[in-house]
Amino acid sequence: MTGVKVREEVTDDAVDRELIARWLGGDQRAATMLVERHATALARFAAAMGGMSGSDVDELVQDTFVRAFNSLESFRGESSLRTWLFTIERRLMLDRRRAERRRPEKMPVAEGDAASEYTALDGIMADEMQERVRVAVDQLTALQREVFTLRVTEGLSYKEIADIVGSTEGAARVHYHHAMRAVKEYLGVPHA
Amino acid sequence: MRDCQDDRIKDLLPEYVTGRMGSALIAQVEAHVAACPSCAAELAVVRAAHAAFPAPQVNIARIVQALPKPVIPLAPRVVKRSRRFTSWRVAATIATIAVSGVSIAVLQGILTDKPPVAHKVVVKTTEAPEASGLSVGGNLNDLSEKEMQTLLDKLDELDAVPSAEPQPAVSGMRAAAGVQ
Repeated sequence: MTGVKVREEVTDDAVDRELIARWLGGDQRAATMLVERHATALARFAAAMGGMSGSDVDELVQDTFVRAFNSLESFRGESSLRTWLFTIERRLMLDRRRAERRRPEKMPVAEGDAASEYTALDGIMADEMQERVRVAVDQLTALQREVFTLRVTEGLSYKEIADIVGSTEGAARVHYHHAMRAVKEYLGVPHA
Repeated sequence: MRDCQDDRIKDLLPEYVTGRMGSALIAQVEAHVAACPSCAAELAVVRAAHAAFPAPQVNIARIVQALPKPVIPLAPRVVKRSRRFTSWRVAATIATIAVSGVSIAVLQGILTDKPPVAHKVVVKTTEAPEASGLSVGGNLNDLSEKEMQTLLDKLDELDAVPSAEPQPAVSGMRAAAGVQ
């Protein structure tokens, strides 16, 4: 993908920067527009990582925005706002997972609860292929799952993904290809 | 399945599925996938993965409600407190001097019942000019050449300022103590 102008990142970033400037200038509507632009992607990423109910996802997305807006004045724009938001969200997710692990008692989750809640939230009945993909993704390592999900659900570049997960562009590419190979193997799709 | 000869296109499939791609590239990808079973299979996986993780509903209004309010920067205030204070002090000093000067002038005017002008000092002596040989009275301009010379001579004879240095206090103390 090197040297290929794939998407309109410049325009997207420029819009975000303008909205940030407007919000810092006191325009509350700019905050609504920023949330509308990125909340869906953040929610999808959180849901894809698994282990969260719909309300957990909602709360996580809200916390991500609150944390981002609290330090929006210090946002230097070295990465895109979207990448920065994903980075914050990922850190919050990791904190919550650690907190979950520290809990002495963990309520057992009934089989099928997550799936039923998931479909209730998104309103879409998953077909067999999608369900199998979810199972395959669940079997990936945490880092592979993050890279694969950010790539196929958001179309983020390897550079953006590397910024989010704190890795290099090359490493992100390798993680994605390993994840894709594993998913294909699970699905029985020949890898070529 | 035959390997794909164009990894570049395979690498673009996520951008193609997520709609983050320009129209020129979309045409290239579609043309390639139509002729490449390997990329077509991978495209099916990417599409399935993309559809497998739809975005849950999020309450935008609630999120916006929870956001902090922007801190609008105030216009920087130019505080020249010390300078203003200094200016004020200078002004007050000038005013005080002016008021004092006017007050003294008025006071002098009241006491003398005259405008405050330079006073002519007249020194009168009861002795006759011949007895002292020094006559200071009236205006010096009234004196003749001879009288003026006499006056100056007399002034020279006066030893108003003692020529000797004052004795140090130690020698006085020694003398008092009887020490040589």
